Order: sequence, then C-alpha cells, then structure tokens
Amino acid sequence: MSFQDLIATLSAFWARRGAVVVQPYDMELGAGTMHPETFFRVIGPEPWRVVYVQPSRRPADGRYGENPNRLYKHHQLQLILKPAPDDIQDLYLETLAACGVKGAEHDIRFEEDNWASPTLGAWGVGWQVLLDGLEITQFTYFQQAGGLDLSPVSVEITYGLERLAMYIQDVGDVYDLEWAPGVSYREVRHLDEVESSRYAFEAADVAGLQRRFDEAVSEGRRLLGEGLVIPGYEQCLAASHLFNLLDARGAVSVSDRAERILAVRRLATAAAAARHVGVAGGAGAG
Amino acid sequence: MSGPSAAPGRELLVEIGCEELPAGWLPDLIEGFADRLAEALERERIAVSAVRGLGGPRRLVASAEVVASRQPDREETLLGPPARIAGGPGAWTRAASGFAGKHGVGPGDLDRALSVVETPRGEYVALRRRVPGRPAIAVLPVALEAALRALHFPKAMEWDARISGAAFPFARPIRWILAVFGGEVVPFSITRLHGPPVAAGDRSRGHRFRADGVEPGESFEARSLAELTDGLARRFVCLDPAERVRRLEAEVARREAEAGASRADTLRIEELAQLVEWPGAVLGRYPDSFLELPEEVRHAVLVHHQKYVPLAGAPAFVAVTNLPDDPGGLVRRGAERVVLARLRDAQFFWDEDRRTPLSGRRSRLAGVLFHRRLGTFAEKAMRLVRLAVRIAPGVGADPHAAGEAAGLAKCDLTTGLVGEFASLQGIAGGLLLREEGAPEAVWRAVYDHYRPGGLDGDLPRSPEAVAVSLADAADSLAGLTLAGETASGGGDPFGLRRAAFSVIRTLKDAPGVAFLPEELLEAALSGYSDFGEEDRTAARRRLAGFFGDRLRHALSRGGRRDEARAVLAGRGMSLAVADAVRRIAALAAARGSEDLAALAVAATRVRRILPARTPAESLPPVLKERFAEPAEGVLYRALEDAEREVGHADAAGEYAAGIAALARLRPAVDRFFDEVLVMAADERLRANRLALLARLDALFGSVGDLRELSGSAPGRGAAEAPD
Repeated sequence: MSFQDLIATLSAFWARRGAVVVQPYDMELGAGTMHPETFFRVIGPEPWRVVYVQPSRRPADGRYGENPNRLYKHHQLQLILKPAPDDIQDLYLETLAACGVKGAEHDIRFEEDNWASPTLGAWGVGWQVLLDGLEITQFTYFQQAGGLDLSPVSVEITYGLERLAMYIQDVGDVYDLEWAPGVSYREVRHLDEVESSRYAFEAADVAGLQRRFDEAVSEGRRLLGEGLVIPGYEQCLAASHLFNLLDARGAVSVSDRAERILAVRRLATAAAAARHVGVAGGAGAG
Repeated sequence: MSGPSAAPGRELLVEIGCEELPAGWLPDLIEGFADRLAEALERERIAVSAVRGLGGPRRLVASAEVVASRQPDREETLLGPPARIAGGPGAWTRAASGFAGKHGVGPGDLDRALSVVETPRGEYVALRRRVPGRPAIAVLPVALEAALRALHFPKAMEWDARISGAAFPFARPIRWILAVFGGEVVPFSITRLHGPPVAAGDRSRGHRFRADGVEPGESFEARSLAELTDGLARRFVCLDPAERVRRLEAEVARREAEAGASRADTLRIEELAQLVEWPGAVLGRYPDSFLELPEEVRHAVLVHHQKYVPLAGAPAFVAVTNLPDDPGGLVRRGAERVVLARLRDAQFFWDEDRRTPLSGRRSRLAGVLFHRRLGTFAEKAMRLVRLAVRIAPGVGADPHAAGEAAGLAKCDLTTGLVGEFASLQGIAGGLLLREEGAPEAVWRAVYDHYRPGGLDGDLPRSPEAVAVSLADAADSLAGLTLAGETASGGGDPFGLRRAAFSVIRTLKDAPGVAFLPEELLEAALSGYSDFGEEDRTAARRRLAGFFGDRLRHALSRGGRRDEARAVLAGRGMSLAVADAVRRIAALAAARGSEDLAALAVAATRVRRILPARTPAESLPPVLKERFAEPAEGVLYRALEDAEREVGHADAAGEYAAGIAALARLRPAVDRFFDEVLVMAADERLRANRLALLARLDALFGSVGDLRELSGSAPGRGAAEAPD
C-alpha cells in the first residue's frame, strides 16, 4: 500500500463514519492538534467529527535528509470525534485492518501515554499504540484545551503516517517508501528535508526570527483584542513555529525560553476563551 | 436479631471491563477494588468471606462468598411526641396513636410497641420496631458504586459518565460490567451523557484478537469465577496477576536458553507482566556491529524506549508480547526493526557527542537552567567543584580528582545521548570521559554521581564518586530550599525527596564517610553566596525539618519507629547517620526488656516534674549533704555509676552496654519515686531533688529521648508536624 493509498484509505474510512474531511492548515504547524479544527472544535458542546492530514514541522528533528527515521517535516493523519464513541478502540483497530495490519498476526497494544501541551493549555489521557513495539498512533481523550474543561470528551487519534507506512511497506528507510506507484518518498520530499535542515540549523536569521516572534505576539494580542479569534490564533501558530526555529538554531537563552513559551500560551488560552465565550453567548465573530 | 437465612453462601462476581489501564497502577487497583468492595459490603451489613481480587490490563475482577443472602434484621427506636401529651401504657392519647399509626402500628398494638423513655430533653414516647434486612441483591448496587468511587488514581479522567446522577471520573472508560450474584445479574448501571448506559450483565470479553476454538473478540457468558476464568483462558486472558508473572518468567527463561545468554538485571518481570493479558515473549537480535556501542547505551535503548529485556553480552533481547505465539515471525521482525532504528539513532548521538571533549561542553552549561532563582548549571558546576573538594577529605577521596569530576559531572546534560535517554545522566558523561582517556578516578566519579538516588539504590563505587554524589544532592537540597521549593504530597517536581534519601543512604552506608548531616548541608548552603543571612536562616530551619523527617522515615524502617524517634529527637542533624543507626539498633535490641520499659515511664515522669527545659550547665550542683531520705543517696550513687559506665560505652560506640547500664538504674529510680516527695515544702530540699532529677534526665537523654519508648510520648504531635 503506497503512502498516498494509506492516506486515502484512512480518510475514506473515517469519512464513511461521518467525519468531515478537511485540508491541512495552510501554515507551519508543529502538530495536527494545533489545527483550528482540533483546537477550537474540542471546546464546547456541539458534536463534531473531522479528519485531515497535517504536515508537521519539528525543526530540531531535521537531519539533512540523512537519517532514515527523523524528519524536519512529517505527516500526521488527525481524527477528532466529539463525543468519543464507545467502540472507538475497535473502530481504530478496524482502520489498521483496512491498511492490511491484522490484529491476530501482530502484537498491538495500548500503552499508557498521556499528552499535555503547556503552550496550548491542553492535556488529555490515553495511550500510544504500539504495533510490534513501534509507536504508530497517539490516542488521547481530551480533558482540557485552552485551559477550559471539556465536556463532551473528544477523542483525538493521531496516526504517524511515515512510521505506519514504513511498517506496512516493510522498509527501513523513510526515503525508500513508495509514495505513489513508481514514485518514492525521496523523490517527493528529500530536497525539502535537506534545504529545510540547512535553513533551520545554519541559515535562519536569528535576529529576524526574534523580531518576527515579537511581532506575531503583539499582533496576535491586538487581533484577539478586536475579537478576531482565528486571525489572532494564526499569530499564535506563527509565534509557536518561530520559537521552534529559534530553538533549533540554539538561540533561545534560558531566561528567554520560559517567557516566550508563556507568551504563546497566553495567546492560545485567550483565543480559546474568546471563541468559547462567543459560542456560549451566541455572539460569535463569524 | 434474626439469624441469617439458611441458604448456603453464594458467589458474588464482579468484572469491570475497561479500556487499557495504565500498567503501573494495576497491582494497586486490583487489590484496591476487592478491598473497597469488601468494605462497602461490610458497611451495608452483608457478610462476605473469601474475597479475591484479580484482573489485568482490561479488567478489574473481585469475587467473594456472600455468607448471608440478606442483611440481618435490626431493631429500631423512633421518638414520637413528648410524654406529657401522649399519655402512657393503657391510656395512650390521640397524639400517641397517630404517631404509631404513621409507622404501621394499629391501635390494638400500642402497649406492645410504645413506651416512654427518658431523653436529655425530657420524656418522650418511643416506638420500637423491627426493620427487616434487605436482600443482598438489592444492596449490592450501592456497595458496587461505593467501591468504584473509593478507588483512587494518580490521574483520573472524565469520560462523560454518571452513577446515581453524579459525575464518575475513572482511570479509563469502562466498556462492560459483569456483575452476578448467585447466578443472578446485579442491577447496576453507569449512565452516559452522550450514549447508551453501561449496564451490568453476565457477559465478559477475552483477548481482542486471539481465541482457542471460539470466535475471537466475541463476548461470552460467565456466571461464576470458575466460568469466567475458564472462558478467559480459552480466549488468552490470564486473570491472575501472579500467574502472569510465573508464565512470563518461564517465557523469558525459554528465550534466554534459545539465545544462550541471560538477562541483564534491569527490568522487573513483575512490572512487565502487568502490560499484557497473556504473557508471551520473542527473541530478537541486532547486528553485531552495535556491540561497539557501550552496553549502557544499548540497554537504555532496549529498556527505556522499548521495555525489552536486554541479554547480557549478546546482541539480543527479549520482547514481551501479548500473544501466545508468533507463527509468522512478524512480531519478532517488527521488534528487531524498531530496535535497529533506535540503535542507529543512539549510534548517531554517540558518534556526535564524541566529537567534542566533555570539558568543551562546560561553556554550554550556561544555557541550561538549573532553577529560575538559582541560575544555570554552569553556576551549579562551580559550586559543585568547591563543595566536592571540601567534602573529599571527609570521605577519603582525592580532592583534586573529586574537584575535576565535579566540574565535569553536569556537562553531559548538553549531549545528544542524554537528550534522548535521560536515564543516562552521569553515565553518558562517564563513558565519554573514559573514551577520552580521562583518569579512572575522574570518569568513574562522573559515571556514578547520580547514585544512589534513593534509600535502596546502589552506592557510588569510589570515594571520589561519593564526594561528587554528596555534593550534587546537598547542593540541590540547599539551593532549592533557599529558592522556596519543597516537596508536598505526591508532588516533588525538583526531586528533593530523592536528594535527601540519596544523602542519607550515602552517609549511612558508604564506607569511611565521616560527615554529619548538618555539616554537609551547612557547607552546601554556604555555596549560595547571593542569598542573605535572613534567607539562609529560614532555609536552614526548613531544611532541618525536611531532612529530619526523611531521616526519621529512613531510620524507622524495619519496625523501629519509636527507637528512631528516641535517638533522633532534637539532634538528628548532629549525629553521624551510621552512629544513629547503631544507637537505634541497640535500643531496638533492648526494647523487650521490662527494665527499659520501666525507665521509659520514669523518663516521662522526670520530664513532667522538671520545670520547662533547663540547660544542664545552669543547674545547681547536687549537694549530698542535703539528702534527707536514704533513697536519695541510693539514686545518687547509682547515677554516678551509670554516668561513668554510659560515658565509657558511648565513647566506644557500645550502645548496648550503655543501655544495660541505664537499665540497672531502675531499682534506685523506682525506690526514689516510692519514698521521696520531690516537691517538698522546704525549698532547699526541693531544689536539690530537682537538680538530682535533672542529672538523671540528662543521662537518659544521652541514649535518646526514652519517652518515645513509653508508648505515650508527649510532644509526638509536635515532632511530626511538618515545617
């Protein structure tokens, strides 16, 4: 099963069960959880089902395209079901079977792994799903987002697409994956990895990154102050990525770190609170 | 009371089917659920016996024999109207009959049911009646709810569930409940805000994917523990945690035999067995070329990332599986592939880290924060050098090597290896130094400096390692206390407890260590020159409280709580820990003796008579010529003998002999209290007697506060109060 077939199979599976298929967020994100379709949708009472792929950037994990397992940018397939259905574990296992991974032939386990994102004011409990010892999925029941308690409880399922595909295709090097028939992951992504790694570790202009970080934070504050929740939150996303770049560049000093993380978190929680109030009061911005 | 029904005991069986519970919680949850259920049944007056707790990753099971199938009847007395308006036997008024009628007693039965009773508020009519016990099946839901609610989790989750209308957080969502009493389903149900309720039934579920001769994954009926155990065994679920451990031991042993190598002792089978419902194991191998990677690093990959069991000396490991077999070899291949990728990563970090000599990383420590108020690890490293050099002579270490190691100890915090495997802190630095050809005394001290890390941890293996380990833990204790941090309840984000226990264990058991806790901590405090004397004084007091509590806890182990309190009272920080241990052991050995018990009572009595703490030096001397009773002279002579003997014994560290000498005081003390009135009217007699008792008190105190051994020690509450 090719990389693109894997994405199509998982998306179709959840679409058949009522999930809205949306597109990756068109900004640099560190994880699918930061997509507004997760961050805002898990708050509040309305049922929601959504699935999407999110390219996720971790600048510090860049390896110039030389490491068979680590990437500057990897792909997550992200699912949110609110409320979490009772048979969610069985449904999840069905998706693996649909990708050719039969439970009876493998050791599939749910091992405790709780998730928390201080920058998003969010946490949940759940597991990492291990397939013969390989972590292929993060499975989380959200408990808080943006500092708000959540009910109904949403379940978030995050498939690590490269890892799952490497297992299914039985390859040891991510660049040897077959993306599409006759087209390798290397052809699609390798140059991107090399150049992005050089950018993150060597070329990024530190002073510029710092300036842009500060601008994003103040712009975010201003926009949220004017009730523009999504535009304000986008500045939070921008700041978060700029912080990761600075960190990869080794340019976050000790005193800086806590302060910058706090600045991002304040934007995230303010955005969540603004959206929540808007929804609850029936006076949303859009 | 009516007797229990004649029916024989009937079995109660409850299975709470969950999504995967955290393995680390499982032993407590399994035991806790059965215990809480038994307690709840007792509260509901349902007698049970043979309570058992079983379970695994997806279920908590409790079974019990219910002795009586209903609650016993009980007598109940209800108060009615005041007697003055109710009349009396033979002449009950309307008020009385109305009250009785409301509780189902007819006019003809008034004299049998009613009486007049005396209450603090006057005389009232009382109605006595028999309340029949409810059948067990009707009470069980209440008990089951109580038992479930009484379970505690390190972190509970909301899953939109309610029992009896109230929120019901749990460890993980509950997906099925089997609850059967004598073959009958217990009416119990958990409602959900957004879905169907989870109602109790008589069906269970086995392994998700495997079954023997039946359809995997389908539920099955079970109406007794025997049926449940059998049904689960056919579906590859082993319900008994102890049995799972035995099976896993056997499985791992088979793989060891297959590999011709035995496990490196780094993972506990007991813990691994809780990860799975049906323990299996596969043998995996990795390429020989990775054997050049230090064993510590390979094992960190296997243990901390994968929870696999490393085999010593071989490029092989055992992976625990939740399967009876691996016919296609897919599980083994998968495990090997993951290990290979992880080892490649580790190799990458090891190669990268070796490009920079460890000493070249010193400057980078300025970018790693130790604590917001205490600065970076660069500053900590400078303090550690000074402290380790200062400690070195007292632990038999070479000050030069100890200082050098202390300066390098934290450098590995900036390595890729430690970034990836936190468990290699210290070890990674030691390995890198060894590669560089650093002197053995230095690299070993860095390697071991996180030891012992607790009361039972392995000790640092060289005097230099002891010096760096003590310096590191003492510096953290002193600094973090200055910064206002502390450990409370379950929270200890800075590892203060760990640091305290590490110091205690080292001072107690490392050979040739001659340091008092207060000396060590004072030396550590003096390293923080930025803090003023006021901060330092407050920290010193809090540190003595915190460390003293840990010390008492540590030395109380083995059932020596009172003895530890007695020895440590008021001076735990200024006794060598090993010396305190010897004193405690001597007291414990003498504990059974009647003489010591009597002296403990006497010590309490003496302290009660003496005016509030008078320093021994300020007391007037005892004047023999003022003795008015023979018992005074007898006690005085016995006291002088005992003082001499205890002095010799203490100097030689022979505390048992000292205690024996004290015990010999008993007849003289007893006689003194029998025959002498201390608080005599004559002020001079009284003062002399008090002076005599003060000397006795001081002598008692030389061993410890004997009052702690009397079973009714005063001031115990104060001693226990947290600072």
